Amino acid sequence: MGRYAAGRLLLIAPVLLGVSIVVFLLMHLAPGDVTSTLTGPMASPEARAAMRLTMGLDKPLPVQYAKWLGHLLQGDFGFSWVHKRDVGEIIFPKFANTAILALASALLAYLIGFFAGIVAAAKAYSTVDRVIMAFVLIAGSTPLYWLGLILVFLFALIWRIFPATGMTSFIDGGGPLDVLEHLVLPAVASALPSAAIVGRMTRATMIEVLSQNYIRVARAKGIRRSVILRRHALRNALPPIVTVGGMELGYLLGGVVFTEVVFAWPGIGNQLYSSIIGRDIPIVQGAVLLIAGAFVLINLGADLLNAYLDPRTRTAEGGRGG
Amino acid sequence: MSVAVAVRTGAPTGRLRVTLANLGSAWRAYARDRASLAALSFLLLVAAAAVLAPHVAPYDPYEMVALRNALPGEEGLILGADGDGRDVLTRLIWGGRISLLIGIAPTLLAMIASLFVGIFAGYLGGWVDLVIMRFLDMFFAFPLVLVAIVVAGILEPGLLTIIVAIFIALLPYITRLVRTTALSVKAQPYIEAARAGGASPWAILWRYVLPNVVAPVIVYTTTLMGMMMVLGSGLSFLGLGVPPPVADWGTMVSEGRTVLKNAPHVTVFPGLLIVLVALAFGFIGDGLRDALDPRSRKR
Repeated sequence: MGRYAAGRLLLIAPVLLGVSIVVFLLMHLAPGDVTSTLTGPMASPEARAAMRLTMGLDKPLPVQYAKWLGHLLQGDFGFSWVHKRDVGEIIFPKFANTAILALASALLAYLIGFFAGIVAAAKAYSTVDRVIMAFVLIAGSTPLYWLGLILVFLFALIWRIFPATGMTSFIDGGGPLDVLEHLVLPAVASALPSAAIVGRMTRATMIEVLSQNYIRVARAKGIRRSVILRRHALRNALPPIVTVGGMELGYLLGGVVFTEVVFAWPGIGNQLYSSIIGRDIPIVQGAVLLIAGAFVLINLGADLLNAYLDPRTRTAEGGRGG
Repeated sequence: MSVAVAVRTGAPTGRLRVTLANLGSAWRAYARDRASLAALSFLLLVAAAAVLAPHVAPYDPYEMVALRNALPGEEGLILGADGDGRDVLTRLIWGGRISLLIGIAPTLLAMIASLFVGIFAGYLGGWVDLVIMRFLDMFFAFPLVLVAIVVAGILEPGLLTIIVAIFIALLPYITRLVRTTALSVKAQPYIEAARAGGASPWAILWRYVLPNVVAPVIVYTTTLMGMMMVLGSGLSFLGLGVPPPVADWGTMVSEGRTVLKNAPHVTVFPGLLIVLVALAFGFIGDGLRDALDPRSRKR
């Protein structure tokens, strides 16, 4: 297990390097450049050229990349000319807010999806199962941003139970309870589509496991149904569920732009969105890097957890072939 | 977002094959499944309405025809009016043109490109395969939704931008499926037999590999179309799509935001339509899988 984990950790380095190349190139393929945004429409071409010189934009791409990567490795994400602040100063606190939202919705998604899937599998092909699966199907096809708006309309505008936007209140806000109150709607909105995926996966895996011979043997020995479900079936059904769960946490990070824009949550997705609109390239680069880095680490975590749960997956490829 | 996970987990595993000879029996098998048939009818209806928008839409999509925020049923408008007094039903019909296009076009284009790249990589193998797959691997380190948003964000807002963004985000996923399928087809005895019989490499690719790879990819792609329409509408929702006053369903949801309290119907209907169309694509994909794979047919 230790050797497997070390091998997987070593593989992370080239992946992250690839991530940095993609992010760097993506930003340099963008039409228009930051100097025209910064100097304004009235600026002379000479002023822009001078700006490009100060920012090092006149150098060849590989040189710019090497310089950028060098800074990155020292924890320097660059400087936002729009905000006149270091990128790291801006994106790390935002990322912490996103982590709160992503963890809360992941927790909700796992709880709902896991239990719905187990109940559906235990009563497979019954009415209960059909109702749960219908919900799963609909939740899986529902746009996050639309669901968010519906929740805002019902729970914030009509029934006034939860606040519609933001993370804290202006007046005596900021405490943990205040944040929790603001967290409910965005967490639920981003959790439901993920819960659908976790639910479908849990159901499918559990039904497969429940049809195995050792379950039949356990049943023949007269072991109670609840004990079989918990002790025999669940443990063997866990690895694929963990994989999907890890992927879901990762994809929550992708969908976080929608949730945070709808609910004005002060996180990395919201920041990424406003920086894209404002063409603040260093922040876009930093935010994308941070999200992709977290995504890679979450997938690694899920793989390691799987290797722990199921020794058969401890192969060189990490049990998920290309 | 669930879109992307289904992209990874929804791939069909059975080997399917498309030929002209079995199209008839495939259609009969498809038509037997009532859910897929209903889904197909619904989708054709929506598509027909969108294509014939100038003839079937009751009003002009950009003109104020009623009081602002008129509720459904008021002033003779079945689905009410939006914040600018425009007919919601009319705008849904016109919006379908863009929304369906951003679901279908990039997915279809990505499928065609993936078939080329994936078969190339999988069948040729060696360093070609290695270079292509390591390059695509870099994209798997990003959530699909993030790739689409960033690509759409750095280009100028517009229809083409959304199509390009989804195309790029999707390409690695379909290519991987094509490659895996091509690899397993390559190992089949009938390929060896064809080679022994003296068939040229191109004949083998064209006559034997392609037909056996195409079917699972079509099934996968159909399911993806609904999800990519949800994603594409999301990009429009973020303002990265066609500029106003033209609107697809995602833009309509976004426009409804400002009048959410007094006129929730402006937001509800376009979203509902997105859900229904995405579901329809899903059912059609399921039906196709059953129809194209004789082993999974019920009777």
